[in-house]
Amino acid sequence: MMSFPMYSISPMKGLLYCSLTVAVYLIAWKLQNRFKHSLLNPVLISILVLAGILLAGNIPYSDYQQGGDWLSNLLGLAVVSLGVPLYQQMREIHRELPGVILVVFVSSLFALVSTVVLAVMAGADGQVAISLAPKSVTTPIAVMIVDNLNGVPSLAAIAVILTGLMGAIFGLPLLSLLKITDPKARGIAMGTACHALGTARIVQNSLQEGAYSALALVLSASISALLAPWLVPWVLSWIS
Amino acid sequence: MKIAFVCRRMAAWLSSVIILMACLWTGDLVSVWIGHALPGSIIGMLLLATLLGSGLIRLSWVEVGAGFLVRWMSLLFVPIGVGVVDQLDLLANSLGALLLTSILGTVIIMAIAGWLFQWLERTQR
Repeated sequence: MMSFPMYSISPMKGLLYCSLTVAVYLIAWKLQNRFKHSLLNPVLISILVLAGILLAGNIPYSDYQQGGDWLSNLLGLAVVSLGVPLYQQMREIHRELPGVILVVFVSSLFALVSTVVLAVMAGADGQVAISLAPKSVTTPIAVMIVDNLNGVPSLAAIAVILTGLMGAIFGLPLLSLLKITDPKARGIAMGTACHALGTARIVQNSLQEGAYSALALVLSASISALLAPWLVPWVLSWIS
Repeated sequence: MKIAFVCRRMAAWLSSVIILMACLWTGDLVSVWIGHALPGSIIGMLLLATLLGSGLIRLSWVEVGAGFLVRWMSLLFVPIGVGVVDQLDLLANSLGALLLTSILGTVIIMAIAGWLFQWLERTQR
């Protein structure tokens, strides 16, 4: 096969993989709108289809990443945009802030402890358990926490995405099943358990739920970043 | 009339992009300054909400771009997820722990957060 110098081919590849990702997502999104089945989650379908294409075509991820990064880089702007629903609910949120902080604090503590315990129960070693611990926290914070605790950051990224997908696919029916009907409680539960990916899903459902989810996302990220460095090693030494 | 509409629309997009980027850049700066305790995007989100709340920025200046990004935010997670193809060994080795924590863990945390907040709401009334 002929090899091309990187600099001349990469913008074309970037454009190709970026538009391929958008196209696959749009088709998956149309499918979900048509059949209304929660397993047809567009994020999940797109990841499976694109991963399948890369594996089948023997395309290295670094090639795909050139286009993928164009989209990933927009994620920062999208998170900033969540400030709009947050602002729209600010007057009401302001009154409830102490309650929200308390709930997210308790839940984040539980999230870190339960994840480490469950991981060890499933046979994971210490390093894997550490890497899974911040799975409910938004990716950059989770990777930072795991890095500081000498875990495996890429495993943390997988755990975060998988948890987020759980929330995006089953989150809304699960909330109803658990009889969590108050829109504020639904938002807080989603944001605390399933970070930005869950928030992206629930904000499509209701702006109020989305605003509380965004708030819980911020709080759980900060609280977990404070708790994890000492709590996770402590739990690990206690159970093993 | 049509031209005026298009111009207004373009101006709304332009101001959205400028404001969102300014919030993100400021957030990134602050993030470095506080030793990455929080990512810049989250600081930017709080900054945008504060600026809107204080009236320094009008909702109509950011509404178009922010609404668009929030609506399509899920798409932006796809490339990170596709990164799994580079980690298939790691995924296979810890699949049990990954599935148990992401499925059962998510149910537990949602239940605790949701029930606790609903209980607080009820007792306060």
